[in-house]
Order: sequence, then structure tokens, then C-alpha cells
Amino acid sequence: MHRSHAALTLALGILLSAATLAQSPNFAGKWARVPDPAAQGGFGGLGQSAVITQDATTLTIIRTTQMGEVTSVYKLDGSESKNTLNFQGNSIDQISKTKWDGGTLHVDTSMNFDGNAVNVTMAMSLDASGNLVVVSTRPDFQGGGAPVTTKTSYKKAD
Amino acid sequence: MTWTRSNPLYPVTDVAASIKWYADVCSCKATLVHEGLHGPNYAVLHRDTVSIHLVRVAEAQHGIKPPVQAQFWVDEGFEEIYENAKRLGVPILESIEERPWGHRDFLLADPDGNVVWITQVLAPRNA
Repeated sequence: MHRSHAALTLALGILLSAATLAQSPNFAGKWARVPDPAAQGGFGGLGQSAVITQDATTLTIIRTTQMGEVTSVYKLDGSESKNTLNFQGNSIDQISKTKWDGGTLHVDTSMNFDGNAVNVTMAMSLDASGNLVVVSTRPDFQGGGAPVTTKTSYKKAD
Repeated sequence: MTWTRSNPLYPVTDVAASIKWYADVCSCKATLVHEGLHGPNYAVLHRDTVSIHLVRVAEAQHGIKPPVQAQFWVDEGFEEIYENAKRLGVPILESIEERPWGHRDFLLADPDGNVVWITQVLAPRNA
């Protein structure tokens, strides 16, 4: 009785994990920003374009920026990922955690802001037409205003 | 109540280029770089106990535009900063000048015309 209960629990766990994986969209591909004339400013997002690779355990985003090619690797099991931005002799650590919520991947990243931690968030999902939608939120660095949220869409470029 | 510190916010056209300029001219290191759709749009730089914030002017709030002026106090390396700036071809708005109130200073312009005012306290003449 005890053994069969344990086996049932294990089987349920496996089924749930498989179901979660099956629901998780694959963001892999080369993505280019969909121009949005109404967009004010340009906080957050993945920049103008990005290349994403994804497997069961990691999501890797490569962006070509003014600081060169920036690669961010995020673990998908919810554990911490550390990405270091190396730029003109500067070495800036960013600590991230991810979480799946249905078809949306939430990436919460902590950065050092004048000795204190600040968080920026990114929620990635695919819309009905297959575009990658990135909703980014960051603090109002310039003051104590409300967090700034930006929604950016990307189209498959290949 | 004690005010503990102050840091300038310089609006700049190109945050990445300005990070390099402040590194080359003032030996500042970036400790935060926030990236936007058009490259970095906010950065925090440090040197010793001083921090400088840079914001991409196109995304700056409250209508902030260059030039902004800020004063920095150094206790040593005053001439070295000046000579380094000259060597790098940085626009020098005012050369080294001694002030009657016991300071000496010079003023530089960053790539957006923001004014970097470097000041050193002189030893009292009658000490």
C-alpha cells in the first residue's frame, strides 16, 4: 500500500514535469525587433535583435550591442544564473532567476546600484502570430517614480 | 539630519561612448549598465567615493538636457588628471586656476558638453 502510494506520487510528479516542459514554448531563433513608432524611449527588451538558443535546462540570449556581443545564459530550473558583463575593463555581475508561468518565462535579474541591489524583470512569451513578446520592467533610476515597463515585439529573422 | 553624499546625473547621447570617456579621462569604472533598445541607457560609474550617473538623453526624464555641470573634489592626482585630459585632446573649458578662496580647479567638457569641474583644496598660505 505504502509502496504503491509512493509509486503513484512519483508517476504524478513525472507527468506534471512532462506537462510543464510540454507547455514551455521554445524561443530559439534569430529575432529582430518589430518597429513600434508609438514606443517612447527604449528601456529594456532584447535590443534591436537577438539570437536565442534553448534546451531543457538553459536559455541563451546573444545580443550585438554597442558594448560588443553580450551573451546571457539563464538556467531554467529556477536556480541562480550569474552573467558578467565585461566592458572596457568593467566587470558587472548580474544575478538572475527564471520561472515558467504557463507559456511565459519570467527572468528576474538583480544588479548592484550604488551599493544596493535593484531588480529588473523580463517576461518572454510568444503571441498568437509567433512573435516573441518581451515585457521589461525596471526601476525609475532617475528618481522615486513608478517602475518603467516596456513591451517589445520581435519577429523571427530567419 | 546629515546629508551624506551627492552624485551628478549627466545626460549623454551615447552612454557606451561616455562610459569609455569617463574611464579614459577620469578613471571611473562602471558598476551598473542598464541596456535598452538602443544600447545602454543608464549607467552608474564609480571612482573612490564618488559616483556619476549617465542617462541616455533621448530617454532622460524631467526634461534634463546637456550641458550639466558638476564639481568633483580630489586630494591628489590633480595635475595628472589635467595632463591626461590634455593628452587625450579633451576640450578644456578653463585651465588650472588658483582661486582666492583657497581652491584650484580646471573645467573639462565631456563629449556632450557636460562640464566636469575638478577642484583641489590648497594648503592655507599662512599656516
